[in-house]
Amino acid sequence: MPDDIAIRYAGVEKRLGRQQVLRGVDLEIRRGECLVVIGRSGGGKSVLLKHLIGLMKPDAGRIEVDGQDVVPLSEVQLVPIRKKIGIVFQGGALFDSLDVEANLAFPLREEKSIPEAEIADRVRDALDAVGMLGHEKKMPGELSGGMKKRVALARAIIRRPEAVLYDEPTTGLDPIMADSIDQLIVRTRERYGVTSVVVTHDMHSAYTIAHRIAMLHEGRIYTVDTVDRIRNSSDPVIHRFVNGISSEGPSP
Amino acid sequence: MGRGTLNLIRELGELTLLGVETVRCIFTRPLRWNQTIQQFYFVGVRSLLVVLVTGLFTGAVFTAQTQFHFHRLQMDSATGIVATLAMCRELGPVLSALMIAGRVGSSMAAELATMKTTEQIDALRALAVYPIEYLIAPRFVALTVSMPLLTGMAIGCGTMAGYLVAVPLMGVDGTYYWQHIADNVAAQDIFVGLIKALFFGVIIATVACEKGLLAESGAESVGRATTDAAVNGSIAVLISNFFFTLVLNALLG
Ligand SMILES: Nc1ncnc2c1ncn2[C@@H]1O[C@H](COP(=O)(O)OP(=O)(O)OP(=O)(O)O)[C@@H](O)[C@H]1O
Ligand SMILES: [Mg+2]
Repeated sequence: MPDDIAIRYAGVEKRLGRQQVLRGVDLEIRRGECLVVIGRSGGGKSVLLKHLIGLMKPDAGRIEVDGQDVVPLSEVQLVPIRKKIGIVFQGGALFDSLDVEANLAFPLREEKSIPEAEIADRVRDALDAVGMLGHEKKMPGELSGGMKKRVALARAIIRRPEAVLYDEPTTGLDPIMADSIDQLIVRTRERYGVTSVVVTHDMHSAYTIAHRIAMLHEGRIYTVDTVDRIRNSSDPVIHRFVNGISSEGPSP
Repeated sequence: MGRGTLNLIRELGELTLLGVETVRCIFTRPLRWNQTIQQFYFVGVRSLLVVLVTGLFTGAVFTAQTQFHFHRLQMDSATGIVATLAMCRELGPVLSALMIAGRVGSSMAAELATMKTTEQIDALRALAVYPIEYLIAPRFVALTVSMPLLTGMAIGCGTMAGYLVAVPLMGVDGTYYWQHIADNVAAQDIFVGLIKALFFGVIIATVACEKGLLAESGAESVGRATTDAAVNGSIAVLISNFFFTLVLNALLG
């Protein structure tokens, strides 16, 4: 079924500075699935996510969202695409000049049609979901790294998008909080059927939430496979990565 | 030399693109009033003291120096005219603009560069908000409107200070002082100053926003954007002032 595919990368290439970051990425993400993207630090995972909502433009290739190629779209034409895809930036990217509550209300206020009372309700629900009730009036500068992540996550899903891109949502969180974020990602997907793309280094988290795992290696998708097959893979590249063995160490 | 020229051309190109896009945005999209008023407060109200002090002491020192020399030439009656004309046409707009480039231009660039490096600008775009509309247009409008107002006040202060220095302090006849100014300084002279101020506002805002938006990642680049905005903004004001003077004199006399 072709329209089973929500997001498709085809032959995406991107050069940044002197580095060829993406060398022909082919990847299909199914509607409603949770796809985890793993890969070395600096390998281009964040760049890959940014391409999907037009924050970066590829040098070559197609990127389709619901069958529509987003590459040639202008900022104005990208508005409907961006409204149906939420993104959690790696660093949170909360607005410094707004407090937690205003950060969460921001995407809703931009809709211009939602009454303030409903906005207040939805902000409270979202804060509750990420365990941040009681911190409404804090400024981003007063939050810990993990708290910022949680607020950023709440902001990304508050418009109930069809797809959410999570860039390392659990990095820097304590194990308990990381687990609760994992649960939140799973629950969001289950409740609203949200297509989820999660970039992570945290293999425990990847095994918990993923339907499939894709590995980005040297600018290409090295493999896409189910959790079990990745976990038990005997391919040296995959095996080393998921078990955290540097190339100096003994090979399997 | 070749490289420097190329960079200058590219820089001017970026500035023009941003300026044109901002003006287009102001006329085609609704203005963000909350943001604009906030910027207006920051640019206009918070800069008031700095600009008034600048006007006050510039007027005072320029009048004192002029009177000191003119007195020896027995041209006391011309002091007020020269000082007031200089204040209206050159010193008021230029010195106010330099103060604003240093105070406002640099902090605008720093704020935008920080937003850029912390991906807040990408976050705006990801939330389908156009950064030019949300961030740039309000700053542009606030600066462009504030500059003539601030300059007008600086000119007023400078002229008052000139009077106080010339008449009570240096013994020029007060009645004649005002009479000569009234006979020789026209509304046009103030108008020239305010027109210049308006364009200086445009220049400072565009330079500051461009430096902020084009900052690369890292704390160092925020610092560079900040100083570049102040220095380039000031230089642009000084150079363009020369051409404004030529053009406005040719057009208005
Ligand atoms: N805006 C940019 N300009 C120039 N180079 C960039 C830019 N963004 C990313 N890069 C480069 O592209 C490469 C991939 O970066 P990216 O942030 O996608 O890595 P990543 O896989 O997300 O790594 P990490 O796991 O550490 O977050 C890096 O080498 C980085 O230096
Ligand atoms: Mg990354």
